[in-house]
Amino acid sequence: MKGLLKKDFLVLFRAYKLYMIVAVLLVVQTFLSGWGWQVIFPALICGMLPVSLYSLDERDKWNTYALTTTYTRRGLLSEKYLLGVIIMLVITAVSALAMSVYALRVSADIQVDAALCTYDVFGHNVVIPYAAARAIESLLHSVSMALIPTAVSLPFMFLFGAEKGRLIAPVVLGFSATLLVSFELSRIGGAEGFVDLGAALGLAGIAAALYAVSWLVSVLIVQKRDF
Amino acid sequence: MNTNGEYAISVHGLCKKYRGFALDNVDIELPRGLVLGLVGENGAGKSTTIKSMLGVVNRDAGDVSLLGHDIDGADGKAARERIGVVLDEVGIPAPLTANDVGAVMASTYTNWDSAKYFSLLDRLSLPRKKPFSKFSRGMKMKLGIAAAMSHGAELLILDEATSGLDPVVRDEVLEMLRDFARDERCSVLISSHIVSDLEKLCDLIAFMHCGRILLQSDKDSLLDRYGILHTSAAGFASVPPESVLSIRESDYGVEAVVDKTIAGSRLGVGAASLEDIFIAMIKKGGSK
Repeated sequence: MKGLLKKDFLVLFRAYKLYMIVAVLLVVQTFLSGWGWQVIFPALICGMLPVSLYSLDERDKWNTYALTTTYTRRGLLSEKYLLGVIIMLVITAVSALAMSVYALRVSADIQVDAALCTYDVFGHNVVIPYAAARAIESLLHSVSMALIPTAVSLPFMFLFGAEKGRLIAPVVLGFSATLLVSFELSRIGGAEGFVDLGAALGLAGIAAALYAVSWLVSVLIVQKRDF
Repeated sequence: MNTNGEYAISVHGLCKKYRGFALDNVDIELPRGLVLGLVGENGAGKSTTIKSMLGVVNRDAGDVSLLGHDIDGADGKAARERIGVVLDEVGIPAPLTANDVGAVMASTYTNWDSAKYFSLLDRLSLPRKKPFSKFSRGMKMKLGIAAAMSHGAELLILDEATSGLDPVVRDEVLEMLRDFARDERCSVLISSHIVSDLEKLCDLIAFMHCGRILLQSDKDSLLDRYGILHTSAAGFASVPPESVLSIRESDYGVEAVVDKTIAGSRLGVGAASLEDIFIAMIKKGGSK
């Protein structure tokens, strides 16, 4: 698995420089403008990376070669899922860092967002500043948007091959964008100054569950597949 | 099935069916320390056989033992640690450099020998920092071979590794394989439709046609057994028909590939190449 991860990171840095630059620019934007929609875009862009890397693997016949070495089918596909999680964690961590830096930088103006949100957590009232709640919501959405594209796309890629499987990508991105828009629209009808962290957490939970189910489905598919 | 390690490769009853093509009960045995050439025309099933043996393609039936291990069993990984494979399309990701490949393989094989790998790169004049996508076909193949030979492999499996190479590079590759095979623990299976390459390298030959192994024999016996008879039409009349594998008639006489054990020692029977024998067998319909 370590060799597979190393290979993917090397390919990422050599073949996906543009992705990296765009993701870095979006993170820089977060440094400048704080929490909000823009936090989600690096996750959405990087969330498709395991799928793109799989396409390259198939084009270069890497999967066939790798199976002649010490790797198994299950190992090959599990590495892509693990890579997706690593990318999600890195993007979320960097976004959290960017938002923290932003908060420190504009601390003089933070009063603007100083309204408090109160949440019922297992019978206890937890009070969080509105700004922090927005930041947490953004991070949770970032987690969801990093996981969902890979979770939906990879089983199709393993089943139909990269060429046909890739056709699902626009659908997945459209679906993810729709989810986000519906979240923003639901905010309009909600109480002003309140961030629905429960819904964001629920979506992240669904994304994680979808990711796990997707891995299980892919294991079943890939065992029967010829490379 | 032999799993005691006497054989580097032991394949029995290997079957794989596709629409319009099937591997039909393929049996291959390669004793340790020898080089086996798998000869067959394009589409004969050589690559499918190799991929099925290695588990890249799921088998419909058959037993495969490599270096004494069931390749799909619990100790399959142990066997794979000691096998080096070079496929027709090498399979190294296009953006990676030879240095990168070394780093990836060091995390793939327990016995990866970086010093040996880099010395092979130097010996083969391969650039270390050039992306694989910029390599010529010959360079790609040489990098694949360097990677396959740098983790203490005892068995090399090469699928069409010499096809598409210029004669100089082909000779270089064959020399490397000869060096490898000099160690009596080391065995090689090499498939090719370029029979002359295999004639230079192999101890054993297996002919494959339409998904079946026509025969597996040691090369010298095969070359001893078959010959090319040049004679007149009248002279050919006395040749036992069952000894004739193929025949070509012209105004100048008859040229036939014959089984010398049946035809006997006749004047005009010269040496046949493996290619002559292989083509004759295919024409005969693979009955021998």
